[in-house]
Amino acid sequence: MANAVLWETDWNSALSRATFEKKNILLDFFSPN
Amino acid sequence: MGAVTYPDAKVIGFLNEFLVPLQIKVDDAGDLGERYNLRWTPHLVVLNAAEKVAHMATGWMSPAEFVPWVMMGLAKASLIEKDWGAVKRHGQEIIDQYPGSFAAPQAVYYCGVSSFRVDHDAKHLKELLATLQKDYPKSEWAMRAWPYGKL
Repeated sequence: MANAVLWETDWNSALSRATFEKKNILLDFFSPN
Repeated sequence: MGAVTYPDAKVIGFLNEFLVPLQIKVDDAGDLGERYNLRWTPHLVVLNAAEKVAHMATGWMSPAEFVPWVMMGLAKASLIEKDWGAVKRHGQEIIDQYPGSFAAPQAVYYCGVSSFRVDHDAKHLKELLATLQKDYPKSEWAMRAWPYGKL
């Protein structure tokens, strides 16, 4: 099992994965600091 | 979120298995920020592959609240598809695994309403009200279910 959340950072890649894997997306807008 | 919630083992396992986690820096949000009402961070959105919003929240969440919150997002995403069975399944998982969470009373409400949508039997609405009044009497969902006592 991964020891960290496997984040996508690209909107289109996330949409493609969500469609292909039939999953929903958790979108986190974050500030680095 | 990055310091406490995302390193949590249950959060890692849940997000990686059941969702596509997408992180976008606020400075890079562009049009997405406007589209998804970004005003402050952390700002979290559960959406489906058709880009429809199921669930949204602003502000920090502990690991113990975050997982059931995301589960509620999955229940509400199933609601978009009118998949009442999936709504109930996700809702029941919240009730069973996180009965003390902020999401639990909403899950009770959604489970009852989904049962009603399947067979249109008002007993489900009365039952959800009774459960909310017994287990979560001070929750906003007990208030929202109050009219079902008049059925």
